[in-house]
Amino acid sequence: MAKSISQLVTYKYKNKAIDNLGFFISLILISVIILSVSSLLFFGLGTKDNYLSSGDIFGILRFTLLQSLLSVFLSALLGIYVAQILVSIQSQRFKSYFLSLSSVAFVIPTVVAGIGIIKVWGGNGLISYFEFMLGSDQNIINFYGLLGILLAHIFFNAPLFVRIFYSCFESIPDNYLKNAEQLNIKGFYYFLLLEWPSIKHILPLLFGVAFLQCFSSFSLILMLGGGPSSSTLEVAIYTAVRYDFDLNSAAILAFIQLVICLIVLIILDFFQNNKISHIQIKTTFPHKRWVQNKSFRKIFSSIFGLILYSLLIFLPLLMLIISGLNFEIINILSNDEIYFIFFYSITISLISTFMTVVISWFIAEARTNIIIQNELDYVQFFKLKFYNISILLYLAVPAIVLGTGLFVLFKGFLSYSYFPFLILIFSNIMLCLPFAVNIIQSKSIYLRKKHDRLCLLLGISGLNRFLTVDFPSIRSVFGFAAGISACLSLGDLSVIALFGSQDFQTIPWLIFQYLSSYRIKEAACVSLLLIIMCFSLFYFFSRILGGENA
Amino acid sequence: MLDVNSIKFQWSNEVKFEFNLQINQGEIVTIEGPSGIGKSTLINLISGFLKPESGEIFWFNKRIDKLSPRDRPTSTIFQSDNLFEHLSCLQNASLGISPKGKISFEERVNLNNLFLELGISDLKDRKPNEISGGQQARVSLVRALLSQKPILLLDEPVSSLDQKTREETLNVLKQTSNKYKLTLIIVSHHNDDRKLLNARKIKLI
Repeated sequence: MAKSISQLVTYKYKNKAIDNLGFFISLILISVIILSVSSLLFFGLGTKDNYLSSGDIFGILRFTLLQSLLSVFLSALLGIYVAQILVSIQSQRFKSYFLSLSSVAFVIPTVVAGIGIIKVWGGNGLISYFEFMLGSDQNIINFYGLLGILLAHIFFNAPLFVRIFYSCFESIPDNYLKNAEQLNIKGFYYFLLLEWPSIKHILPLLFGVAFLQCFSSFSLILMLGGGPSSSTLEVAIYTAVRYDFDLNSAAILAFIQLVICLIVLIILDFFQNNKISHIQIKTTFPHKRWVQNKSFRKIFSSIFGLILYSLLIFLPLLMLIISGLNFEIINILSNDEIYFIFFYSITISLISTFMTVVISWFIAEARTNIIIQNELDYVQFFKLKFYNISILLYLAVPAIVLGTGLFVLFKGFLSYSYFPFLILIFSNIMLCLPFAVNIIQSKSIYLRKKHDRLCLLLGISGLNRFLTVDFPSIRSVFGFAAGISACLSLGDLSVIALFGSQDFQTIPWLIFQYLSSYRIKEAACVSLLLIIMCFSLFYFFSRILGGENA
Repeated sequence: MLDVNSIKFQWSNEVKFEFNLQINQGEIVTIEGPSGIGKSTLINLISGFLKPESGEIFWFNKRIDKLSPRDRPTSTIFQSDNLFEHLSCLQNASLGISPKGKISFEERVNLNNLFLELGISDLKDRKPNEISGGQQARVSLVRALLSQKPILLLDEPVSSLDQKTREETLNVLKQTSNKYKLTLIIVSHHNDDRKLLNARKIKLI
């Protein structure tokens, strides 16, 4: 029987050097994480001092699960609601602007978003200002705690849900919509017959990723949690290590978090195997689709939905800009130390970004070598699993556990003057890896299928092939992956929360310090500067380095 | 009688259409003409998926061009995506009776009879992707008949089928139309279709 093109392509070309490098890098990443976790568990469970009772631990676990599940559920509800509204709007331009503006939430640092949310919902925020105008002398809404955490998680998750659901709803065939209209299918049955089938395949993966993000959320809980009653596992580990140096409690909490996250990851991996993750997220559709005529009730519901979404997503962004433009900015810009912190943060971010992109490329290529094979033997199957684990493992391992574990492990071997620097870069790489690998991977598979046979025929291989054939095409995704990685690295407040001090500061740490001492104006100014920096780096990498097609 | 009276529609400044036609109840007509002449546009205007800029459409002297598609006396079979893929053929057809898919015993008997009549009674439990294009067209026809709308619009429903299946499907359409006094308006590229259906030709120029 004749072989398909993909079979012919994968039959010969396989860069062994990249394959081995990818495997070796994955092995190092997994080893470092396993070492860090086991060292914390080993030292922690070996000590006797324990400040947390089993009741405390159960309470923390219950709250962590509650806030994660509620965050995912509410984000999904809002996502479906707004995606339905967007689909029913004819103006492509409006939808394009709306989705682009929503995308800001993907790259905005969590600590910065936290400031924006506080500026709307917090003690001196916009809502309390209106409460004061209405004659109330104290806040009616108690923002800090579960409510604040939910609002923050919705801020980050809802735009992702909207984007994916919108893309799914837009992929419903036009004739289905017309049939539904002629058959008078509407309301809940419309959702059940048309919309639900288009999203049900993506839901487990989407829910799983969002759940993991909320479950291991750290900086937002630290900023908005409002006390021990609203503590999550990750924050409790941080508190146990940083303030009590209670390694026993930290080890128990880390173990619980690890087990739950690993279960979710295994479920996610199952859905990845079924290729559900390879859904193309489109934001623009060239043709004008038929949409139902809107009743007054539907128009009212659409306006309400868009206002609600704007209050939850766009208003914090707007408040962030407005509150950042205050006179404190003059003091901040005249402080030499700030420039040093910015320089230090950008240096860490650039090193992390460069290493992330290089590592991601090696792993993506090694994975592609396996994925494009039509039939996998056991060795290849387990190799693929191994790569998947190396990319996703960090989602299950709390950053604080990683930092503490490595600190315990290398105490006495490495100087404290550069140890936090190394850990920060490592945690940044692990944080960005899932995004960067998947961004590069999608293009890599496409290019392999397109170029492999031609390169084989022309005898182009190795570095020559990379520079002349692959790089010009893959440059744009390198740029995009670098842009995302730079933003994430620059804005991360996880490991730095453990090692941050007067001598070792980054911008997110500085913002957190301002917040801790109630210097909200300074925090808002530095947040605005951080956003500008993030967007500049994103623009530089994705547009200038990535080229025009980025 | 269906009376399409000076219906005007334009996609852009360059692409403008004007339609005038009368079709009797129970009549079968084929809409023919080169690509881009507005055949599908005409179907969409009659069914209500496009709004005309001016003109009127009457069905037995009742003006229908202001009605929404669901309230018009029309049902449509498109070239593709007529059946919901995750539902069985029976579930798809029963949507013609109730949008919630819930049907009474008598309605179920009626549904079974139609499946039998159109020669697809063994396909009831199959999903659309498990049956051929011609069979899908018949299931769509059952659903259209159950919705009890007197005008059936067909936008190239058989163009992707092979010759034999096309002839079979058109024969079923003709017999069903005659039996149930359906007004059939069918967009077609083939002269043979018109001959098979014994239809009146409306050529758009």
